[in-house]
Amino acid sequence: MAVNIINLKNITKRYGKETVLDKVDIAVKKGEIFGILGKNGAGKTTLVKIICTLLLPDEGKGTVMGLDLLKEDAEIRANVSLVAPTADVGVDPVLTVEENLLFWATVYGLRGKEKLKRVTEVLKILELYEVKDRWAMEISAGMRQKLGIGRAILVHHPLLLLDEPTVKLDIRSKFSLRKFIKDVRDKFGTTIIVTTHYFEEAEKICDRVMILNEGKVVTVDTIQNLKLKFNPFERILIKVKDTSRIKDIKKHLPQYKIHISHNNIEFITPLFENAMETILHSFDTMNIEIEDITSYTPTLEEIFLQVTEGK
Amino acid sequence: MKRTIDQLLSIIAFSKREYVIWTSYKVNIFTWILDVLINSTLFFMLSILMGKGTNIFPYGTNYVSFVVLGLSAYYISYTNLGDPFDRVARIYWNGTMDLYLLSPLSIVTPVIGIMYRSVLDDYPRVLLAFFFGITLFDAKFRLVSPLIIIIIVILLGISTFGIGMISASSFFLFNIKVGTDPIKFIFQDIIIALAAGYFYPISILPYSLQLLSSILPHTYALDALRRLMIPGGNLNTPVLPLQKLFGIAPIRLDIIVLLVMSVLFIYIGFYLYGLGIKKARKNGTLTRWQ
Repeated sequence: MAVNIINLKNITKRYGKETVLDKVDIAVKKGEIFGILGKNGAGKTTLVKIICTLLLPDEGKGTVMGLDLLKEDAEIRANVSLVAPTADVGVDPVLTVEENLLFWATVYGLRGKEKLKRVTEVLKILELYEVKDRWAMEISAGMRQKLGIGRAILVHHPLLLLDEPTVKLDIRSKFSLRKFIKDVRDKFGTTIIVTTHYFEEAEKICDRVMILNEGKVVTVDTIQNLKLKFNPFERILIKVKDTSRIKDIKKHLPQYKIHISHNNIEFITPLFENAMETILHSFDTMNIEIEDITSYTPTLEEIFLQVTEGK
Repeated sequence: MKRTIDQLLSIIAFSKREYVIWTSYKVNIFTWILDVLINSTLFFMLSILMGKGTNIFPYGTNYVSFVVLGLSAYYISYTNLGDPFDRVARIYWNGTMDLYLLSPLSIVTPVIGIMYRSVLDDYPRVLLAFFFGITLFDAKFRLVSPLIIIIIVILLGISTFGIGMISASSFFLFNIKVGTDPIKFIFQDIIIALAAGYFYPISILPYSLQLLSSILPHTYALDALRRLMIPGGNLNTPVLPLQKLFGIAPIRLDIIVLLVMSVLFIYIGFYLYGLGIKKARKNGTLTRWQ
């Protein structure tokens, strides 16, 4: 059974009369990539700040990396890496890319050859090696963002918090960062918490997600389970040329809900059952020629809207 | 031990970074020298005008030397007392507060580290003030007990830094994110400006202001330095209220008071700064990242 690296219960935070987090429980397993999703003001960043002890909860308790959230906060802070939304914070414009990383490596306690090795490694991983001697002010915003991420991964802390890490990145950089996040987890067993507005991103990298709405946990699960729980259907749209035998389809495929409109047939099928293969086989048996096929599975974004707004 | 070494190495890393940043603005160095020259000249011209016939007993007879030491204390105090609040503000506003807190650094290491730019900017002004004073305005000095002189300068540095940390703590403790910090304003712009004795002896002040000057480390540091470094300085005659009260040899009393103030101000400064951080963690004002 996997050990929980984060185990917080009943976390509540208020700013004046406004309750930002309301009795939130969060349990994250060691080595997991865990997504926190929510609209602006849902409490994502507040929760991340509490996990890394930059913010004290008004109520609630628990452990992070086995350390008491309220009593061993300094030890927690020393063992957490953070990438805030403006990751290029901490990047000094008049230092070179390499000098920036060397500075932070010293701050994080790396010394001598190990420091140089880690800095070079990070520069190569983030494809910044070619620009290592350029001033940080001369490189692109995306590269500075990467440099900020590089700072956070200089040391292999057991817990990495990424708050909107891909905000300023172009598509290629986003892709390589997502791959990198998975690689960090696979290689070092790092537990990674990601908050993001990009649901596609969460679908691609997160093992489990938590959906927060107005400071409350709506649900926590794997994305597959969320889809099965909230919208467990796949829609398959088939357009046929010849409509003469179209009514036979319902007889051949009684297990599916079917809507027919002129030469368009819509199948509502259970999710993850690979109904497409069964349907195509039936069409082949009935000798019906298919003009076009579209398959549609629910996205995490739709699930999110459904659970937060009831849409 | 390792933790202390790590903090020191980090301060060196900060220092290197601040040096690179400071020297990256090439025009800085030229304007900086000119600034010290003009400032020193203004004070020295005034000292020449006022100096003749000015009674600066027990600090010898050379008023320019008297002013050089006053200016030196001013530069050290300006950095150590005035800078911590500004540095904490800089760390907060540029968004790096959370990054430093999420590291093995102690909460005061970044403040000390980032102060190095001001140290670079202000401390060499002391040497330039001596240089201009000696070469252009006939200031004269003697070196009686150089070790004691070094100790006094260090204690002045520590005690003023302690007051600086008390001032810096107000950034989080009272959530003063913009405008002037009241602690710094009260100390630097009122009490020190009036009663530190940078440009005149404390003894010419009304007795109430002399009592006010008794709470400043500057008073004792300048008293000791001027007695020790200005030719003709008297080492034995008490002039400060506390010296008269306790009847201990003036320089000995100066060192004891500076020691007590150093320990006290540093302790209060670090304690209040820690308290401010804790309060900011509670009310969510520790970082700009929202």
